[in-house]
Amino acid sequence: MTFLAYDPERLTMLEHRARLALDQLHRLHSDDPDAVDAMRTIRQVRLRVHEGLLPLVQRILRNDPLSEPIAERDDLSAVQNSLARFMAVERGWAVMVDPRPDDPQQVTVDEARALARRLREIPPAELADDPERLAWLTAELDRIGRDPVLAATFDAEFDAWAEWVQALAEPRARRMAGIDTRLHVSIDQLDATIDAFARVAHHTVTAGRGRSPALAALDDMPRYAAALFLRDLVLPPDLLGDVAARVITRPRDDLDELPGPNTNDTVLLMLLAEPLALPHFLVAIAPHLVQVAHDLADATLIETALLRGTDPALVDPTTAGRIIVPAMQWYLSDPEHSAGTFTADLVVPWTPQFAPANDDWDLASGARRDLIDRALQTPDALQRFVEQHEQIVANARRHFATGPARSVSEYTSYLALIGGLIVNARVRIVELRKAAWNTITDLGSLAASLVPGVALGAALTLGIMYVSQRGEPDPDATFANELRGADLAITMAAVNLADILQQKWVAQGLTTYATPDPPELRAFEEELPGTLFIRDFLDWVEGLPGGDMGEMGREAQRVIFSVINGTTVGEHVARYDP
Amino acid sequence: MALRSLAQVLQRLDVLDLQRHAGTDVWVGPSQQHWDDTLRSDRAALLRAGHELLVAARRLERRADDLDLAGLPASGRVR
Repeated sequence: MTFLAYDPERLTMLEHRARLALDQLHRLHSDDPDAVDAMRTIRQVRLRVHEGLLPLVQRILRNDPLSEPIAERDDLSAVQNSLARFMAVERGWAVMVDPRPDDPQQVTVDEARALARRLREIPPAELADDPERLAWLTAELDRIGRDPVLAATFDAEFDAWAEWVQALAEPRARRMAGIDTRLHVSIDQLDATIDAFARVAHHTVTAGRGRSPALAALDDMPRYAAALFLRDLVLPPDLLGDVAARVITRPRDDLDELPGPNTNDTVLLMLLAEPLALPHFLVAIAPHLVQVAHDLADATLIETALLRGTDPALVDPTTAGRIIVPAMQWYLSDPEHSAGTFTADLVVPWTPQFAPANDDWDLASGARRDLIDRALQTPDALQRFVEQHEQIVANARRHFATGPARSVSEYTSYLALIGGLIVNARVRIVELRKAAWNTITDLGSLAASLVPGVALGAALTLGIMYVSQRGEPDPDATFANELRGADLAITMAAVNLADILQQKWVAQGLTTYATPDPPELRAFEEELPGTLFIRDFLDWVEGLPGGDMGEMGREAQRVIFSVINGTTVGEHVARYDP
Repeated sequence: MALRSLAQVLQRLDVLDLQRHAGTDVWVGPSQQHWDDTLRSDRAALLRAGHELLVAARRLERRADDLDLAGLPASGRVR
């Protein structure tokens, strides 16, 4: 039953004006053929006023209004009669049953305001277990939430966000936990109502950039209720990430003790659906990772969030470091964790940042080396790492090609790092061993784009392709220590460069039958491949036209010594010597 | 009533103001919402009808002027 409230004096005035308007319409007449349509419109309007509006107004004025005290009528106190009740109680208007049923598709500014005021008075628990009234409220809020003006009107009058969302969240949590089967409303229905409240709040929250009453109310509700409300607020990613971190780092409360997905699960599931918010969130919770992870019902959610939130497509290297470093420190220091696929996946997109000469992250090179060593210390982790060799190479290529002024020394330190990580003794699966060495070969080919003077042309690109087809250098898996791996990686880069130089000279017509071939990789002898290469290289240079003082010899020394030379060979690998 | 006169009357009808006097400062409820919509659309329909009458009147006036120029008698319907 819906009600109609009215001001008798003003309604009497409306009756008077309707009569005058009707008289005027009655007097209009025209026989002109061009006025046929206009006269039809006039007749229709006249009919509506004469047979619709005027009799209705007269009937209202003739009828006695409700004589009982308004506040005592249960039907008038129903939430759908908020506006009529408000006008009756606050303005002293008369009230009667409206002959026309409520149009659920229509909400006026006054209705939105009255509903907000009424919801401040009604105990939320009264509606939270009444499916019919809750459905009505949800539909009404939904309509208000679709109109920014209505939403702003509602928001300006409403200050019970925390009470209402809590009243809806508590039965939801009990339902989810399966401990309260007497509830009449479903989880979907409760979710829909929370969502409808959030849709209304969304407009003013986004307009106020975090300073709206609805957002402030998050601090006054239990964490679980706040998480549900936040899920539906549809905030900009940075604000969502920051607010979600604020909610999840609050102390646990009673609702978190119920079984089933809890606050932390709810927040992380929400953020996984909004990946752009993840970096903001993860940076903010980095100091609290232990607690956040501990409280999860589904422990894998934090790992998924960390992997998605550190995707190079979403974050810059500095931000990634602010997430990855504490994430690895937390993960690897927990005795329940062991380095596995998670730690390998976490470091794969960011291997250049672990190179000793890189300074993207605010962490000493020794500490970074320690982290990546521990991340890949188990066979599973290393296997996972090597399986993703294509991604490692692609990320390194992007890093060294587009990074600001990446130095050759950073590159060689990176090569030594990867070479040291990937040694045959640890890569036990034959197919993966091949992939591991291909990774080093591919990374070695990057030298051509970093060392000044090694211009790339079509012929040289072919040269790189040739070089990268060398395949595994150690089919017998004789490399068993890290130092040799690191040395080999750098030596392979030098071999690649020498090959490319030779290709270039051939293309330029500078070589003859007497020009010696560049040195090859000697990987299987007792001495370090780098030491052997330097010896062979110096011999090669002597054999070039003009020897070490000739034009080709000088170019060869400048290029090759930028990645490896006789005085430093073994130096950049020595620092990784375990 | 001639077209132009009728058009001018339509633009000044009391019924055009009725919606303003039937707002939520007078009454609230589903009936108010219904009549608010109805009176608003009636107002628009009447103003549209008045505009169309003026267009028709101007068209007839131009035709009368053309006939005058051609030395033929005008219909005299437009005043």
